Amino acid sequence: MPVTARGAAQVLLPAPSVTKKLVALPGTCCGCNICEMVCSLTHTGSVNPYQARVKVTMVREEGHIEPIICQHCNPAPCEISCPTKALFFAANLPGVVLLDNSKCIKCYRCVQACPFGAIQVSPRGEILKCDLCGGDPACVQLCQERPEFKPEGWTGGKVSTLQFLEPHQVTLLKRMLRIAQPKDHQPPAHEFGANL
Amino acid sequence: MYGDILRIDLTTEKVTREPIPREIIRKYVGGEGINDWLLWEHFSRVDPRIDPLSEGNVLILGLGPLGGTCFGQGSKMKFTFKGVTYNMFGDSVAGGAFGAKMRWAGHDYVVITGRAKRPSYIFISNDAVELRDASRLKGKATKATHQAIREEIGDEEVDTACIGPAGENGVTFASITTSGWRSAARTGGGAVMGSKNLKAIAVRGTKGIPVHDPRAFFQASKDMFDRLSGLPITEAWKREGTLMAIETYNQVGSNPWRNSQGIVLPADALAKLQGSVYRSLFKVRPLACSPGCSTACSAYHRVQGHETPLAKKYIGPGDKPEYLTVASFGAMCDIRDYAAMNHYYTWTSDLAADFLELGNICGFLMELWDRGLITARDMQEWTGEPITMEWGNAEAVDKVIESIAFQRNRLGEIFKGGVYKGAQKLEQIKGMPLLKYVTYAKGGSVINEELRPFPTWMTNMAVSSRGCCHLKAVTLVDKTGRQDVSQALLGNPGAGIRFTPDMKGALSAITECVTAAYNCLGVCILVAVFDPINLPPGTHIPGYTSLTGIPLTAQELYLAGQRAYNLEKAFNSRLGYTRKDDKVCERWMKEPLADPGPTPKGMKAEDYLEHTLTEYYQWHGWDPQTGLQTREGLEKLEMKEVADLLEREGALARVALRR
Repeated sequence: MPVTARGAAQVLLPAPSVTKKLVALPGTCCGCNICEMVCSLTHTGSVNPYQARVKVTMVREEGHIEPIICQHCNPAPCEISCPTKALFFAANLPGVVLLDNSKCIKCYRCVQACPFGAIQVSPRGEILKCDLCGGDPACVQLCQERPEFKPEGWTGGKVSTLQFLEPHQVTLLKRMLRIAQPKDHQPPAHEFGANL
Repeated sequence: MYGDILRIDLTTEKVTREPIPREIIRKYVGGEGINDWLLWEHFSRVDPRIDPLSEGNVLILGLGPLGGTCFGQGSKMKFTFKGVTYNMFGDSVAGGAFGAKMRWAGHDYVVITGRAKRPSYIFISNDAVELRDASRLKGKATKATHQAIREEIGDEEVDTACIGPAGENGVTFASITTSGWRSAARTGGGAVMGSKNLKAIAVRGTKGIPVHDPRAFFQASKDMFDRLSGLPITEAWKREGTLMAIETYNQVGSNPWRNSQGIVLPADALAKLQGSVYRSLFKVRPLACSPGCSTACSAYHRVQGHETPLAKKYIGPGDKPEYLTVASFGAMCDIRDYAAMNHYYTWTSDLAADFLELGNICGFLMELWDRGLITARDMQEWTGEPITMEWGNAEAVDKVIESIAFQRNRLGEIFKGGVYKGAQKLEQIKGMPLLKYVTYAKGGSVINEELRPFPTWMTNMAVSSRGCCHLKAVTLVDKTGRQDVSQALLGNPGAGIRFTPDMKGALSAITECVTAAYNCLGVCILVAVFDPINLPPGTHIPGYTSLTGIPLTAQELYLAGQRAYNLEKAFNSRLGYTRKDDKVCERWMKEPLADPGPTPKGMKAEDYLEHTLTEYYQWHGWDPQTGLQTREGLEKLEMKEVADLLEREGALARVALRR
């Protein structure tokens, strides 16, 4: 079948949702732990960071705060290392590595294999693996907006630490952030006490 | 859902757990409300007139139902006890992750009574409670204590609430520091903890908080996020937090320039102390002070050493100072250097002493020096060092703070009890009247803001249940003339008309109940109290009901706040406090501002306080003559047992309420 102009355009367009990447913008996380809490809320029905698939690492003295998130690598070291195929690529969500808890033998090879330390273990020893909430990550939805980091001209929605974006948007946002992060910015003309 | 109440008796080393009675949840909701109820319960068995530093005092830790969750309003825990600084009801609020971890361990409230035989710390690991030896932590500052306890337990996720040198040395305005950096200051919680031989409480919580309806709670949280993002004020909070108040207060005339002698900062001082200086020179990243905060008004900074003249002295990391830090040291003491502000904020939470009281003491000493009432010889005699208390001398302020926190010398001893008692002692030593140079109320420091032109704030200072404090009823209606907010809260724009006494007492009373209502939920009041139109307590209810499964209406939540505040008031009434004690210092009462700046000439508290107080008692349903509660009012709030106890002790108004 000959390729039409319309078809060609479709080839260039990214496929919906599944090609999106869950990323954390460096230097913007304020350590509110909401991503951990909302992750446990949606996965276990309780608010408990120890049951979260995302983990915020914090070294306060050095000002280091960073959410550790699953990158859904492809090929995925965790999937390769799993001896029972408890970790597998989802059929309906290409590129997403899921965990079948019933097959897991708690050997923790995936924990060792993950280059990011993104596979978490609950206090009871269960493996906690990000499943991207089926394509609309809850942690991104509740990651707080940081207007002070929003670069001029950015049209890709709210700027927060956790982003679920097309890969090219991620690079664009990071590039814009680097340009638009002046250390010395003028005080904003804000609303506080405006009606004096 | 709710956790339980954990009771620890340090004398007998007995630990019990019990669920929160359902009736108490209905009446007081949680947070401040249940803390107050626990305090009331304790002091219905113990004489409330005891010395707050005696074994009979109680230390209650509590976090309300929405704290430690992803609701987006942070987790502000409360410490409640009989206060030391003002010798009346005392409570103290702090961020940090301690409260959230306490809830994740399954304990919403921890009630600590008795006194440990030796220096100890409590370690709570989910259900297990252990009393550990703390002798090797003695004298350690709070960050070092926090780290040492984490190392001893071997878990980097253990969180602590601990005291520093000030609390151990019995400084009456010592604070408790959570997570090694957030202070629960004012009213002397650290001194209470020190008197119990309790260095710290450590907690590890891995159980989490069960949610009644997770889907609905997620939606409620998301709605709250959207609501917050839509507020015009949110962006400013995120950029600067409370530091933006320096410029705003210069416009309205509320900065305490040179020990409250002036009202606005001069332009050159403002240029060095405004929030944008912090943002441009020091701020590295935003920081949320407690888990679950979607505003994150705090920040992390690093002083490199080249930013300001004093920076080379204070190199290192730290946390963003708040407005009142800058007011206490920048305005009160005229130190025009931001590196010093950063230093005082971090250092006072490390020593665990209230920086408002410290800033007030330093400002007071500087004014005395300026007027020639204390000399180099006095300072030499009291400290053993040649200290000159000129305006802006940061080194001298360092020395004064050190003297007090470590109780090193005579100066430290003089001010151990705070600025008011210190000034009284100085009067005796010097044989001359000095109290007129102090801003105080009820025997302790005021918050370091200029309040003479603002009748609502002045009323708050005079009546606040925990001494002289703004956090019981924060509102900007008065300072910024928000007639719309006044209309929404009182049905009358009057409180928004600036510099008049009309409706200001009413606003005080209503705001106290509204603020207490937020506090009953365990959330941060910062964004909400400044915008009660867009964030009334009712907006938190979907989160509460989906989390707990307990129905609640906005009216019931308001009533819970009102009950909580009435319990605090009743506690003070039992100690004999009446209308005659609801007053402020001589400087605020009698001395009009020399340079009123943007405010009308000649405003002083004497002119309006009697009027606003009467209005305040009436709006609370209390007796305006004595300021005491009435049986009718308390019974309307279903607090008959409180009325009974007050009547037995003669602390109930004898007259029937007239409407």
